[in-house]
Amino acid sequence: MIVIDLAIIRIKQVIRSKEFYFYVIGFPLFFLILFGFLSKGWAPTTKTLDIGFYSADSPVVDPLTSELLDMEKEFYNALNTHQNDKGLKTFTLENYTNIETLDTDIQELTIEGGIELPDDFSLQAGNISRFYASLILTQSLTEAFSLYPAEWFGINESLYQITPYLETSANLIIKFHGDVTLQTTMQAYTSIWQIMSEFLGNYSVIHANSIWSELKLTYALSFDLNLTQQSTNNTISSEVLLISAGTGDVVEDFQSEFFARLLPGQILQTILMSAVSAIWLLDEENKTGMLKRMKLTKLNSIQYLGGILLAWSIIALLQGIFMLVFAAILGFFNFAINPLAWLFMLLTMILLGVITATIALLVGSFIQARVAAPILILFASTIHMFVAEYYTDIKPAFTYAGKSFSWFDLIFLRPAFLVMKNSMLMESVSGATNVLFDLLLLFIWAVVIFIAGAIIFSKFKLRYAEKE
Amino acid sequence: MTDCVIECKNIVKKFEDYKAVNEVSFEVHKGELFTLLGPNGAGKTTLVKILTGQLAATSGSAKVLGEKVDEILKSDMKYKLSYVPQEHLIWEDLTVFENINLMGKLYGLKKLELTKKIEGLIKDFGLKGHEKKRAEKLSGGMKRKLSIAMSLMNDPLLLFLDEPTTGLDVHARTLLMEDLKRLKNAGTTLILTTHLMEEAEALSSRVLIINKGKVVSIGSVEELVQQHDGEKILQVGLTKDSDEFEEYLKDKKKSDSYLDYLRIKDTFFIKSTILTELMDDIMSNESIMDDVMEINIKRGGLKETFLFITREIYDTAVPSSEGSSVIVKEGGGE
Repeated sequence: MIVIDLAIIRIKQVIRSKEFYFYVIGFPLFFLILFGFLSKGWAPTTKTLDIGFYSADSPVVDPLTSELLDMEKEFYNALNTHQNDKGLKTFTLENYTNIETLDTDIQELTIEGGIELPDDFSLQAGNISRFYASLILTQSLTEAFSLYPAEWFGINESLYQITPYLETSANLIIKFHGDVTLQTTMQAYTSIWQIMSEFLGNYSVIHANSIWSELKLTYALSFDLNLTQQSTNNTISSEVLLISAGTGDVVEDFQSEFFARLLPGQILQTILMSAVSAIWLLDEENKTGMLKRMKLTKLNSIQYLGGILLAWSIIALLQGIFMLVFAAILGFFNFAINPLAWLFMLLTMILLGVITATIALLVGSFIQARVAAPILILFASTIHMFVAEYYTDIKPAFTYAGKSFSWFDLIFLRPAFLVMKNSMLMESVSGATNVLFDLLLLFIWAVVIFIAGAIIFSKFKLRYAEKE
Repeated sequence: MTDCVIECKNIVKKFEDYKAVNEVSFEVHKGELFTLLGPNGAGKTTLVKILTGQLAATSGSAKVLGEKVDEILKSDMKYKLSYVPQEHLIWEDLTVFENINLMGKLYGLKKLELTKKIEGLIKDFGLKGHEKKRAEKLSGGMKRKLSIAMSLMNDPLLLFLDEPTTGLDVHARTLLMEDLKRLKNAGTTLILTTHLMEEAEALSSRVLIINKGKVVSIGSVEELVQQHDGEKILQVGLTKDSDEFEEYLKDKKKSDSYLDYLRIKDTFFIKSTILTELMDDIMSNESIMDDVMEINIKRGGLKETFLFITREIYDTAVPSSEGSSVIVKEGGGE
């Protein structure tokens, strides 16, 4: 099919041009490396995070030991004493007795986020740890059958005694409040999740030891703590309450700036920069007369434009993936995000490729190539900065279908930027629906811009006879 | 379709007040190698652009392959014409094979036909061994060959070549002329624009001499030479750019009203009814002969005819009434 043939040829032409490597690969890569290492080397990778702590929990009596089980207090201590990799306290906890106050403080950025423990936290956390303790013991006792066959009866009896714990049901839901699009909040969320997991794992061991002593068995078996932690990880469910941090001043460290703005922004800018290649290529084709020569062939305008569109979509995809791979190699990006997030990101790259090709058609219709290239770079950079600026203190203009819009949505890069950024963060936080909305907006932009570009380019460049 | 491949009637192309093409009418017949010969800026390329539909004529009408030229792009006849402009019409960053292959695909050739065609053209145009070489790495001659090979992918009935030998060295030019002869023999109608006489003389079935947008003369090479009394001329080459010889000719012209001459720097082309006597007289004049490097009587060809016809475009050293002498600007002709 001629569109595919043309697209392949275009890609070859772009890849073979020296300018491509300088403007489209070298230039953005330089800044990726520069900013990436600046963020890693100069800024502290972690800092103590201010977190609100709200609990509605009541202690319960442990059915195994008949002691009062205050899991909230234990968990608070676990959070409060946890240290980050710099040896600093991970959190400075502030107690809240009112959840509204906690949300207000998040909005005003007094705190990075808040954790809300439910009223049955002790009960559910206790149940979870006991459940996993019994699972571990069951596994250990099953192994004991082969090691101590003579004590078969005793082991079997022990297993019978564990059965009530195995039947225990647990449903622990912890709520996290915060604007998870902010890197520090995201960092707090991830850390809390990890600490909760460790906390329940440790408690499983404590409970396992208690059950063990209750069983009064003489043979020694060891517990696999790692296994316990991984298991508990899979049973707690979390709920994130997105509290927009819009009314205060965001002060993020350089690393978070990089992750939250520069990486997705640079990928998008890199893709946009390839418009320079498209403009030069189209200009060359126009100057040499090849464009007119092609009009004498069986190629029609739609096929010609289709070839360009397809080529730059593929180029954009390759560029985006290249940048991500490079970012991953440098340690700025983790590939282990969920498949849906990947899909959104790849679609964004493709749509941006369409927009890039269209920009080339539009700019190429009016401006001489060598002039157009730097103008385009300036254009792309300025838009990029505008979009990045949005995340500081621009207030939403209106809300539709539960989503806030600002006038910055009129810049096509913004939805592209949002999809990229939120997809990167989507593993645990941003809702797919939210991302989908921006993706749809980007799609609409791509269609509108392409139609405009195709009409203008056809009028100015694809007509055959010059009337002048 | 009749035998007439191109039919041009009173074509005018104006750029603001300037008439680049002025009331041009001619016909080209099937299988001809028709040459548009004219100095730089004569209107050759403009005419080709009009005939290939790239440029709209201000007035007049033209039919190409039986279709009105302004409608040819809407008809399938456009697939039967092809053109090679002055610039190399190739994708510089693609290989020789990719260039030809893509052009074939643009014409919708199927794989088998395409392969056969590419093989044939690569062989015919001496591109064998260069298939994987990027076009930008080719010499000027090879680029021109590639450009022409690409233009033949659609088996054109009519092929326009706008100054195809521009920028080529003598060797490449000779080879290219052989290629054009081959195409002519194969039955392709060729429209060639050039300002090179030997090219026009060697290849053309008919020549149209155009100057300042106007048709000056049209016919076969022999007819043109006859039309302009170009039977025999005396060519005198001087060792230096001297005015003494010109003064001598002016003096002779007083006694021979038919004497006419053309001066291109240090070479004189002289027409006269008494050429032999004039040569003897020059050779017996020692003061003149000191500066003469070459003197001979030869049959006037297309080159001399062309130079005499288009003489008014050059700077006039002496008013024509005083001897009709001209000095060709440097680089103004060959």
